Amino acid sequence: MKVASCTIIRGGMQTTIQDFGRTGFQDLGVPVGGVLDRQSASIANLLVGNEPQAPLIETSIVGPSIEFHSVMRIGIAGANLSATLDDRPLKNWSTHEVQPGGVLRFGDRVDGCRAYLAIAGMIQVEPWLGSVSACGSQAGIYTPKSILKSGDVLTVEPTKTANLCHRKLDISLFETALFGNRVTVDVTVGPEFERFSDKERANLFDCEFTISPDSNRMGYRMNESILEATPGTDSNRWKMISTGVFPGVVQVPESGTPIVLMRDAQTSGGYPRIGIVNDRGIDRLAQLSPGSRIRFRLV
Amino acid sequence: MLNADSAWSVIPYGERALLVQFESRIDPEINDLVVHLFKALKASDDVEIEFMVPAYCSLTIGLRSTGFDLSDWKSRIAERLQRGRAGRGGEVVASAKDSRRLVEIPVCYEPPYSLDLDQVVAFSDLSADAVIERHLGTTYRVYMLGFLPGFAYLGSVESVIACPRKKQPRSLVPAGSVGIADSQTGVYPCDAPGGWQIIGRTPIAMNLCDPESLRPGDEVRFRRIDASTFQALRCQRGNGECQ
Repeated sequence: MKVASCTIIRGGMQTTIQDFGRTGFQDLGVPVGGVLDRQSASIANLLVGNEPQAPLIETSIVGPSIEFHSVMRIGIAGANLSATLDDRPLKNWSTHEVQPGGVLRFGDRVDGCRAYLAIAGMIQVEPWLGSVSACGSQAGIYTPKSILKSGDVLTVEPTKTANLCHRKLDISLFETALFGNRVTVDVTVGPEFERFSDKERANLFDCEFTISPDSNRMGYRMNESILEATPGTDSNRWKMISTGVFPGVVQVPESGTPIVLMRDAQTSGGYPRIGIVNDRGIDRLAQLSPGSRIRFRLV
Repeated sequence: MLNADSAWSVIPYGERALLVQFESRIDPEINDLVVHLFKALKASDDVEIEFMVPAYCSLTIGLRSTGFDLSDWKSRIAERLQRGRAGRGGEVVASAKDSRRLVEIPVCYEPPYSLDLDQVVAFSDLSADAVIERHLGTTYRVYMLGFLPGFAYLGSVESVIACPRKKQPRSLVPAGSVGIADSQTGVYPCDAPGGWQIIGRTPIAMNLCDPESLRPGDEVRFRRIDASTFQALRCQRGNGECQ
């Protein structure tokens, strides 16, 4: 198997190369980044015989169009964005063979938010701080080649395992599962939990929230506020000295609308932290799009 | 005088992290404790630690797996803080102080670099030169990095020139810009959006991987240069366009 390549014909909405991010540099202000839905990304990679955390393509809502120049094996997993190969529908959560000249396109969003496209082999992109993930902050400066746009050419080097197709991977569970538009995520108590009244805490855990359009890889914002209609006059509760934060932290700014930090979030923050969503919750949130509903469950 | 017995606590911070919290205020001695603990844990190469975020008065410790033993971590942290003691006075030494650098940053406070100097002049009711003298007159410490890769929060700025942020952030602050936001000052390590009041610019690259890139606990002084020196330093270091 020789070096293979493909060309991005159209970039789609937010198409980037991601692996599982760069950790250990948070003290320098570098967000961890990486795939937002780790579970789906791992599956896409395993479908083509890649290591689960290998570089792959993440896209959201509006997918790219890609022309392949070589025989390649691809795996798609995550959101169903109506993938087609030469206008023939492709099954999600599956491995597919592509011939030279084959064109992969995406269409309507059917389910989920972020789709993963893995290519058998190692995508050749310059890493920064040990990762090829498009940097959460100033990606154009630090990891420009990881932002995919029209005209970009990707080359893929063969790897030992990529020839093996993990057909034994039992993805039957995922083939029929749908992400849906409603999710409950587990939340542990945050450092500033006590700054919120009993009623406000109950509002967080008893109510359903809708995802605001102002949500992205840095953070998912909720439309609804948890604040009491006639809040106390304690303005001290918003006073915060900048402190470390990481993906999963649920901040509540003065608007009262919770923000769940995601993997491109800045490493420091100045809003009270009411709780923390776990890793699995981040994966699930990643597949929600604006308008979807979410509940927070205290654990 | 703060020492290793100064109030601190450690609490779970999600399933896979701990928060070590010191007294909540911006204080060099409290920050010394944070930086000391951060450096000590970093040097210990503990495989359980995935990342850390040292901040003004807290240290976030991100762990590789769930199911940590909180009391075990409490002991470990207490021990590291104790090790910082020196003599009966119990001053926190430092491993923080020992590896601290003093970095001098040349800054041109002239147009076109001093984008918001007039705002700080209006706020302080001082002349432009007086504002600049106040900015130059302090040895700042790097309290923490955040907001952008390599962006160091430097404190503390003299209160008379501690001007609040711009109401509307700029969509682009040029790399090297030196700004003020309340009691903090800092240098933008790259082009980025931002709301700090920009009073000058440095020609040296403060990018994350550059030698002058700042680290928690470092000390910083600014040095005034004129526009032609600015150009000369930029060209010398191969930064940007040169005439």
